[in-house]
Amino acid sequence: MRASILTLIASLACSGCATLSGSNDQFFVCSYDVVWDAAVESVKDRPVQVQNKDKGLIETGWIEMEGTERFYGIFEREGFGNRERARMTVAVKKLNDVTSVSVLENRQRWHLKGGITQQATKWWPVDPSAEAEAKVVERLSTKLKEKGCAAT
Amino acid sequence: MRIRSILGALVIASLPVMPAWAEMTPEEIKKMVDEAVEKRLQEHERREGPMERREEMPGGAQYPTPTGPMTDIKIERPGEERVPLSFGATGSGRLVYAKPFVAAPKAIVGGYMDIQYRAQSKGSIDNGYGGGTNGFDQQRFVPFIYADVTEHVKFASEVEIEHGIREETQEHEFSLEFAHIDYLINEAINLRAGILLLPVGKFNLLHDSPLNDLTDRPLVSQFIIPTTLSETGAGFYGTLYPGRTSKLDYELYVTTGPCSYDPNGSPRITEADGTMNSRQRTCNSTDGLDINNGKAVVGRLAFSPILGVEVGGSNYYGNGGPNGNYNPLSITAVDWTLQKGPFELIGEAAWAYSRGNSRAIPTSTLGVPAGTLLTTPVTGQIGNSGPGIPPQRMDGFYIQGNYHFMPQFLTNLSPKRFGEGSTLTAVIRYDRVNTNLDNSNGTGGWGNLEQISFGLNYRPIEDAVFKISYQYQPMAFNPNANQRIHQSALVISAATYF
Repeated sequence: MRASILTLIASLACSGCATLSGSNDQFFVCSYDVVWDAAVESVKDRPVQVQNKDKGLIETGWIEMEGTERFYGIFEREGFGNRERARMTVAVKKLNDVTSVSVLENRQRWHLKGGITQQATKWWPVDPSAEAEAKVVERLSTKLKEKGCAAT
Repeated sequence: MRIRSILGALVIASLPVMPAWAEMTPEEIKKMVDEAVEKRLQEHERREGPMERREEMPGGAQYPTPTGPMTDIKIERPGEERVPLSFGATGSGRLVYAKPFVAAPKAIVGGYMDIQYRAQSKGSIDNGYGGGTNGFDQQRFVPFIYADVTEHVKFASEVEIEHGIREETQEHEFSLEFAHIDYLINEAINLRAGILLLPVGKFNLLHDSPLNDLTDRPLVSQFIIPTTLSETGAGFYGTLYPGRTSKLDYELYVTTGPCSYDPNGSPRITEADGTMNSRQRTCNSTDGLDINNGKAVVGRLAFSPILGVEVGGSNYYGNGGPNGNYNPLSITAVDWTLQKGPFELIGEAAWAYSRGNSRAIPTSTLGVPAGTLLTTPVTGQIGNSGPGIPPQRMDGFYIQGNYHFMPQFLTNLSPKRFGEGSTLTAVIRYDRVNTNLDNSNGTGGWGNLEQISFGLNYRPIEDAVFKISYQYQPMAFNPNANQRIHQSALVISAATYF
């Protein structure tokens, strides 16, 4: 039974990874350097933690914010609050004749749901904000448009 | 400052009645007012000063130094709100309000409860009167308290009251399910101590009735991982982010070990109950203390490569033998969660091994030599539909699919009841457990169980759920008659956080 269970989990996990994606991907006919500079500019309103041009990765720190309102229990009390936090990662990659940019937000919520079973003091992953990702992409596209780079 | 203002106002108010001042320049008037205020202030100081200084003196006289998180308490007498809670604090009548929980920045009191009705084809409900086929059961009423003591210190606790508190029955349970203090260092490493929910599988950590989409817990979480499994201990937990989208959660604790034997050496891990009775909370030991000097080590590692996918591995290992015997109990579990849109696929598999459980331990008083195979005549335990030998190895798993939906016609019918935030969930689950893998008696012993469940539930809000399910068990067990049976059941329940 052990082998069949492990096989099942592995195949489910692999298929899950293959089908799930939350990133906002763009392609530009432009040099890597120009796209990289624009990518750095596009997240400069956030605290950048990782900025590695060789790996093509920019990673911002977590920013805490008030999330969408959620009440607790049948009495709809304030409960554990609505705290959310998010960080943005931008991956720049040189392809054959274009440069790809992948913008992804990791968003988490403090105490996602339920009671307090040791999971209360923990950040739970939630869906990324499409709006926040779109803002970064828009800033990036505008910058690159100014540089004469076309999006494909 | 306030006194200076009042005196200044009085002096200015007296100006119109002093005609000589009419010929003075504004600078001269200001200088004169300042001098008068200063003079009267000095007089006031001479008369009232000692009293004011006494009030302002730290630790002086009536109200001592303000420290501690007491600022939120609404007390009328000035200064009293700053008195720290101590044996020296004054006003015994107020002490009850001066507990830290009142003053904590945030304390949350809540809980959950459930109620169920069950109708079965066979009378396997263990009611103490030969078994029943149907009945109501208020299985869990669980109040909890959570507190943000400080930014870095958190407290969480849960009291579990099962089946109401009924003095005349054996099945009631009133206990602290968990109560722990967390000291947050950073996200990668934090400390935790207290009565802990042990991270063996995921279900044990997230077992609340309102969270689950079926009423009955998975069989593997009843017999192999004895949910709710909590013990006293301490350890670490944290989260790491190894990749752009990935997340690694871990928990590692040292706790009070298992209780695998009664004082007479009779095994508590049996085919009928699995590992359920090896928990310290059900043990004969005084105050739930360790029955030996051994401790258990338990940990879980959960890797999420991407949002909606998580695979976890966990292990529990501890010596359950008393009086110097070494009979470790090991439980290994794998759990998985896959979510994509309205679909969810969750499950858990576990393997348990209790070394030497089928033979008499050297210190037993069962009247047989050490190492003797423990059959039913020796232990009096049921099991195995054969010799009743206590199990050493057992395993089980469940796999469950959920589909969340809300038909538009229901939303149109009643947007308040079936609108945003409400959902229907269709559920299917397959359970398989064998609590005695050492038994090779044909189709297995009484602990060889199989179940398939179909369910539908309605959540008006996320925290409350009404469930209905049909369960079919081609392989079940009737503890009232000690018989292997086919079973089917209709279970209706409600559960909510409050």
